[in-house]
Amino acid sequence: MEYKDMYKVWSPAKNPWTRWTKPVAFMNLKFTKIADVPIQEIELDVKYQSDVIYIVDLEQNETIDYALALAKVGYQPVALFNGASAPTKYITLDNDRLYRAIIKASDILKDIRIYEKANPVFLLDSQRLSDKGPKSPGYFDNRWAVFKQDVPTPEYLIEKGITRIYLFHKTINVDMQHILYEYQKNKIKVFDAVTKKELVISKPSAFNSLSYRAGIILGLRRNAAGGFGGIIPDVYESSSSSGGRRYYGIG
Amino acid sequence: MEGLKLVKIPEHLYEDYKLDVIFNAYKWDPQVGDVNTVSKYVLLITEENAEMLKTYAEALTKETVELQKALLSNLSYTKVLGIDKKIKKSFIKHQSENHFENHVSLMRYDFHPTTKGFMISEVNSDVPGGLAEATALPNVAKKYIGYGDIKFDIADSLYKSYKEKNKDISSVAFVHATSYADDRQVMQYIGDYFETKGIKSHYVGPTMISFKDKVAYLNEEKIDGLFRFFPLEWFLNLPRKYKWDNYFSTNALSCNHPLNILSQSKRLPLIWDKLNIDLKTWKKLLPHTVDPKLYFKDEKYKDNYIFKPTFGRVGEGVMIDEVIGNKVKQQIIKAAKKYPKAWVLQQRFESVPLTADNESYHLCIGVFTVNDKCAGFYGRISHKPRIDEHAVDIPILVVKGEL
Repeated sequence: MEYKDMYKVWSPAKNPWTRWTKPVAFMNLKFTKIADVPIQEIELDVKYQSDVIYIVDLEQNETIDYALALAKVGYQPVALFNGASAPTKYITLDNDRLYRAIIKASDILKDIRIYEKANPVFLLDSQRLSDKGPKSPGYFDNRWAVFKQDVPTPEYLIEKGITRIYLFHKTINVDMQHILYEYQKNKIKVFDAVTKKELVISKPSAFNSLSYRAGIILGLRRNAAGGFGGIIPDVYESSSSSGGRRYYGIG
Repeated sequence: MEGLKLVKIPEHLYEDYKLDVIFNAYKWDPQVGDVNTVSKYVLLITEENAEMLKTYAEALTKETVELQKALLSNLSYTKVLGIDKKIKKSFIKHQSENHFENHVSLMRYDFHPTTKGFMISEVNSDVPGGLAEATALPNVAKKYIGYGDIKFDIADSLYKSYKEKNKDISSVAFVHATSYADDRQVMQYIGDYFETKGIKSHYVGPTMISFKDKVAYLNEEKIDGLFRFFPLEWFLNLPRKYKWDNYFSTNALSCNHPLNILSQSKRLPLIWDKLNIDLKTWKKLLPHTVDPKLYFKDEKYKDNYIFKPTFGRVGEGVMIDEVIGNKVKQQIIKAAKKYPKAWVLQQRFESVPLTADNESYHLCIGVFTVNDKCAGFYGRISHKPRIDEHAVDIPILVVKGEL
């Protein structure tokens, strides 16, 4: 299957949620070096519910295993992987297992019948902000983060009748904390998908601040409009209780 | 405004078009929040308008280069411009190596149709984006609507400019914030084109490049050219042990060389009259711009003037009432009062929206120049009169005759 066809399998145009699919992983599948990863069949105690969406935030190919399991229940996988790769051994985050799993799972997913307006299961790689890989000067630092602009707004979820989010995760990364807190603030409940217990997402520090984004990976943030975010005075911060300190947020 | 028209991609073809745009026009960020950033429209412009924009942009670039040269000789103005003193020190340290003619210069001027004709809001002279949108995107769009011309090929302009400066160039490192896929898409577009011409493209973060005797290296490999898509002021955030000022002195053919930061500040109009150079195109096209302190001293600046961030690049933080709401407006005013050098006060122009299917769209046409020649048009539209990160990319095709 061509990479473009794989993208179509993972992002069918008729589904209203697949427009959030990030194309970059599909553009980078050519960088896969390893031959194969096994797809693990996961048995889930899950039934499709019209007011529920899922988020899977597990490690690399494990996320793909859960994506297929939830697809079989009726949820539409929506890949939010947004880290680029490069043909070099000097790379911080090795995406091989993820990319290979996407390739292999494409053949399985194409045969799973999913209702064309099915709710999504958003897919993330929990390694995206990992501190484990080499980051010293000379390395291609391809760690990445998910931001509010990468997912539907709370208003959109509410409009679509979503009241609950179930999360498969081991830890909640700081970037997800911002997103989930915003959802929770808008009366959308968040649950642990394994224990089924409601999660209370605490308010992240610097919530709603542009400087949050500045600090999250490299102290940098670009703009997604084909241009560049510039360093701008962080009006939100400079007017907050931390006033007096000179902040620069990055738009 | 005449000579501009929106036409719709046939509805039954739109999903194929979008897929084509993602895969063949390097659009890796087709969705921002709830906004689909792949427009359902194409912008047609007449040859007369295209020629006018080209003429304006080329004239602006001539003047901008003169501005940069004058500022390099008068680095004391960098303080007023809001350029960090570490950057100023690097210019001083490498004064003898800052030769404009040795490098490739890429700039983008943002034009807006207004009640007074085309006006500009800014120049992006440091790291302008929207490259694939200027050539690859209209090429895809033309397949779907069947007519219109693409007058410029920005990837080819850049390639030819590199070759013109160094006919033996064999490798270019594309320096960008590697954590951001939407920056990588810009690099990949130019890099892929360079590869088709036999130039090896490397995708790197700024600290991956090392320097020895002014020669740039990636690991052990000598690099002939640098294409920087990493804003110069972000260098200040790099690890201290990394000597980023080598980017000022390297012999590697650079686009853009750090020199281009000198014209990036929106505070340029505050000092340009002191530089004794002819800036008639800039003065004709840029709205009246003054020190933000005047807002608090003179009532006349409260009605029709807006604050803009000194180093804003995509419309963020621009104080347009109907876009930001009163709360953010008050925050901007407070910030501008506290940190006036981070802001500029500019007369607001009245954007003339285009209409299609009973909806209004404000338009911005980014016009690129490579060295002194026009190199492409990059369109963005928005329902709001501020073209920011929520604006939608739109391909621009040039047509003969009236619209």
